[in-house]
Amino acid sequence: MKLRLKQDALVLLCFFLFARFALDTRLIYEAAEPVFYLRWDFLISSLRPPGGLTVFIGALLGQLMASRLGGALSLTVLAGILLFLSDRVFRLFAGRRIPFVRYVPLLTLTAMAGTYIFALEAVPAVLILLILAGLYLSLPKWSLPIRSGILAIITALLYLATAGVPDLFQFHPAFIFQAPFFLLGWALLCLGFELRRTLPGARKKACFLLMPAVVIGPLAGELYFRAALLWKWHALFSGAKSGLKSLLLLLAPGLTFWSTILTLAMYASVTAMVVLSFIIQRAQLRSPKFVDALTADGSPPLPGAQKNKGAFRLLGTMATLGLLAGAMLLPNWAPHNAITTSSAFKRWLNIEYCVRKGQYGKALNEASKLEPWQFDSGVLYDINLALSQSGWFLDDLFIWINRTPPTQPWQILEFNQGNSTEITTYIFLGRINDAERLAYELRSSTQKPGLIWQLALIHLVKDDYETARIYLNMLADNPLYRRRATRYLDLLNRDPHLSDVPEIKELKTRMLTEDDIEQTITYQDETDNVIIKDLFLKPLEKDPSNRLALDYLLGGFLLQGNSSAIANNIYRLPPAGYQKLPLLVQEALLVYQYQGGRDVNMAGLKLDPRVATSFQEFLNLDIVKNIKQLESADDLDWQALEKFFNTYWFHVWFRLKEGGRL
Amino acid sequence: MKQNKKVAAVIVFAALLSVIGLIVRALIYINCRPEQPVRINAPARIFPDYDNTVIPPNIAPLNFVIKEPGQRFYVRVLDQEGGLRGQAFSRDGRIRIPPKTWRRLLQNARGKSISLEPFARDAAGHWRQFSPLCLRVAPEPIDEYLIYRLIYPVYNSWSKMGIYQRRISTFKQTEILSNTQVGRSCINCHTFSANQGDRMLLQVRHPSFGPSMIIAAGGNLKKTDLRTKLYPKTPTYTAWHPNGDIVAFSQNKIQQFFHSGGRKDPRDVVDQESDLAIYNIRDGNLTYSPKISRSDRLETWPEWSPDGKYLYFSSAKTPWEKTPKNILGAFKYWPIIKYDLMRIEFDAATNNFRQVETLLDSRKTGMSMSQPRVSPDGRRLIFVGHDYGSFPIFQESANLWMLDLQTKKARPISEINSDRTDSWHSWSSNGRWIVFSSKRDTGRLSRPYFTYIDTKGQASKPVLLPQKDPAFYDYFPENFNRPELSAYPVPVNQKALAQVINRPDKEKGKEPVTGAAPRSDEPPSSP
Repeated sequence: MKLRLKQDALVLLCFFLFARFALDTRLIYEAAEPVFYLRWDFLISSLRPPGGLTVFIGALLGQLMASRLGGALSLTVLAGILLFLSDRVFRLFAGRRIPFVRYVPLLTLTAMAGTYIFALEAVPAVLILLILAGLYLSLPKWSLPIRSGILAIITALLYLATAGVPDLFQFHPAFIFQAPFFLLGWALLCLGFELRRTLPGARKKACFLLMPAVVIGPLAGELYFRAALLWKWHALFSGAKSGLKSLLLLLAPGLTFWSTILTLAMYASVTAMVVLSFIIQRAQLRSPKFVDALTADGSPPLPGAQKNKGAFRLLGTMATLGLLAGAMLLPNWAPHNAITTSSAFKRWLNIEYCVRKGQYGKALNEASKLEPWQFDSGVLYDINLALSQSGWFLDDLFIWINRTPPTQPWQILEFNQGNSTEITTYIFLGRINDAERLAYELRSSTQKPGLIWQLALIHLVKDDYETARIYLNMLADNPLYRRRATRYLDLLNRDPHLSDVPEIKELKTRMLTEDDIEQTITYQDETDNVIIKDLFLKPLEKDPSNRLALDYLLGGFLLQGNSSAIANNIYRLPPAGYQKLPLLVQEALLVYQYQGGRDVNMAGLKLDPRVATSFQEFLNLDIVKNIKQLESADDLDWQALEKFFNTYWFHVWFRLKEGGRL
Repeated sequence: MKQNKKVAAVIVFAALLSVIGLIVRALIYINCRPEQPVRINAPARIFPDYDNTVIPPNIAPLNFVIKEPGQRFYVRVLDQEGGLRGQAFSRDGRIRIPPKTWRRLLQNARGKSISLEPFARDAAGHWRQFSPLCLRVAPEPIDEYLIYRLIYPVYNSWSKMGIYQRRISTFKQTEILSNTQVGRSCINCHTFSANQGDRMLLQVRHPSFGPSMIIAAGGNLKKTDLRTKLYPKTPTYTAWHPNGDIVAFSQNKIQQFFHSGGRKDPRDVVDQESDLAIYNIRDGNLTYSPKISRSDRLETWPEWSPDGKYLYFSSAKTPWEKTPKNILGAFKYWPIIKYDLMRIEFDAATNNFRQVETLLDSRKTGMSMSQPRVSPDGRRLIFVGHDYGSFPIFQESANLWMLDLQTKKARPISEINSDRTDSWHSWSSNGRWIVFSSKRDTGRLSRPYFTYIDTKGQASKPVLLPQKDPAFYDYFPENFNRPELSAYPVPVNQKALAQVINRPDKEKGKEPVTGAAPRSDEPPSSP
């Protein structure tokens, strides 16, 4: 006993060290950003829908993740509970033959936490499953009907607590996957256990009571789940043009192809389970040896069964283990999550986290470690924000122009549901009304505290301080935003205009005050040139030091290959803090001069002679000289060009001029 | 024996808890009673501000928050003679008046005054007594039910919204319909016939079945689609004729656009097209008249007079030669479109319109006029005056105006208007109260306010709809949209309503055989 305790303590210590030093639990919070408020009505509304208990505990767990130490401690406590419960369940199920198996769920949790992106509610759900399983497995040897009745009640409780129908109340695809696997795992666990412990005399009775008791809970739950969805969504079914579409909608309303396939797989599994149970029943009747091999120690084994007993026990335990692990991992599995263990994903999350916290230098440090192919549009917005806010200058600022597909700066301003980085970009650009529009569009689908803070900030900047106060009051009930919200509420009480708060003051300076309806309407429809000018020039004219607007303006012109526009805007660089020309801008200026451009207002900035030399080298390349003869990308001399892949010249010569041959 | 002991222990424990609770309560009571308070000759800062208001005799307790510094708060509820009728304590300034006390007080105070006397205790234990808040209880009650839509500020997309009814004498709010039951449809423009909750109209834009009008009357539910080939635009604003058979509705092509700066609410709306028409619920006939659906004018916001002889509406001259195809062609006219206030005589027996009469000309008033609502006695009309267009909700200039229908003179109801949006008003069935939607508190979120209209047409200081939690409005991020008063509750079964909306089948309005020339050659938009 003492040895087991020591082993467990050692394992938990290792787990804590892993969670504290190898994991950054703040990034788990960053990826999930669960909605959580310390308000009575929030608790009630969270607990009301079936499955709400796990969602609520998951959200609470998420709050603890926001601190590295708190996250590590809470994960370790959870791991301890998981270890204790899984040990209890395995011992009840399989005796003490395979003691180390109790660590498998813990290892699963370790793997899951290491991906950073996982459904936080999966952990409490598994714990509830184990608690109820332990409860069921500990039942005295009451008669089969009583046990079956209790099993049905426990199953219903499990269903209500973990795998309910949140779709009826809010859209949460994770549960679509979670519910079936949970129920399947639960049913098989109970089935195996009952087969083990059923006394030979009761076998026949078991055929009629046990199997339905095990299967009926999950099936009834699923039927309820589907029926409730059917009731809710039947308008869509009846509106479907074809029978197939109706069927698909019935199976997985509003979901994707893959979720439909998974749901179908779940149905197949449940059906197989029912069929299997009947086959086992028949085998049980025909071959007592088969069952005796599974029966518990209390039941006298028949001759010949003893030698198979251990194998069956091992098999049952492994099946249970697999199901538990599946219940934890499968809901969180998705192809893209395979990448999540990679350093890139962690870096993206870290950059996002640092930008959100205003730690721009750290964000840029982290960004500098990314490989060129690891830049995606989301992280580029963060990097651009970090650059403009930190005052740092990197020649790699526009490195992304040669990515495939290239990210257009104005894409962030296209009308869509948006994300928090896009909203922040709008705010820092000075296009506060656009930020507001995007934030409220997003608000229709979520009330994440980060978004509520953005709404509060937007209204503070716009002097809508009474509305801001409402959002700040909401945030004051969030453990992580409480301090910030309270600070701003205090500041508002002292001065509603927050004239002494530098961050608000700066944003107010940038804010567009001139009404501009035409441009607001047309930037989706007109040419890129109009869009760039409208979106970024106006904020720049309002505040010449708005570097973010200048970066996007120049970035847009670079992407267009509009060298003359770049040349005409060089004079804007020094007021925005540039003391030297960025590399790509220098390259663009050389192209402008090469094309015959004159009279550039350099505003005291100078070209680096090494860039001019490099340009000459580029022009001297045979492939550049003979570009007219270029038929396809296969004809390119990649080796010669490799040096220039990230240059503006390569972009202009080989991406734009030749009609996108690459 | 053991069992009995356990039961006895539980009973003793429960009794102990009760006694402790009583002692704690008594201590709080003793502790909170102000002793030798310093009198302050100024009113306490409270929210909502109920000082010097006229309140209905059937309103729920006016719970409020005292915004004065302090650690203990106490409020005495006094009748006109100064007799103590109730009291409330608080540690955080949230004053909840006991409902029973409040009801008893109001029952005996019709036509009289009552007062609320706040006290606050500072950290040193010194009490301050503020000037009492004086409230006059009107003799006439307000309609018992308030129906509104709760919706987050919506730009283009929406998620959750619902129509609710609140019993004004209590805090009970019940859901009439949530859009989560109807495929996240947009549900809007609930309208009642003569403040009768059992005759309700509702507009629904369903993701699968397109727009339709839901008519709930006499226990029956009906779903109709009033779009026709000749008039394909979506029906929007409705008014139910007092005879209960006829519905006037507008068909609008509404375009939303956004301001990039220069104003606080970036949202704005322009009507590219709008016409009025009549729908007969009994026979399903649609009537279009060239007098109310002119191609050179934009007609909208219908409203019947209580006797059903006049149809009031807003109408603007179209600023364009040819209807613009899209928003790009329409938006540049937004500041110059101003709506006149009109009415037209109507004969319900023959379904005929007579002469159009301009009540208020926008060229003379200098403002756009919309949302006309006539008082139940037919003497007065309240409308919204605002800078331009027909959608005042997004304009801070929107104010309530009152038109005397006998003298034809209009005046801004400055007693109740604020420097922010005031709109969406509704009369009580006895004509003594109106409820309106105001953004005065936040600038962005609308809240329902009541005001008493006396026999001379003067309004009293508005009263915010009280809530059980006095700080409710400090946290509530949704709009109270289109508040409507009703004397009776809406009896529609929520499930039945959702089922009707979710059904694909719907009645079609019969194509008009005669009427105004259609202005659009656009086919009906598919659902």
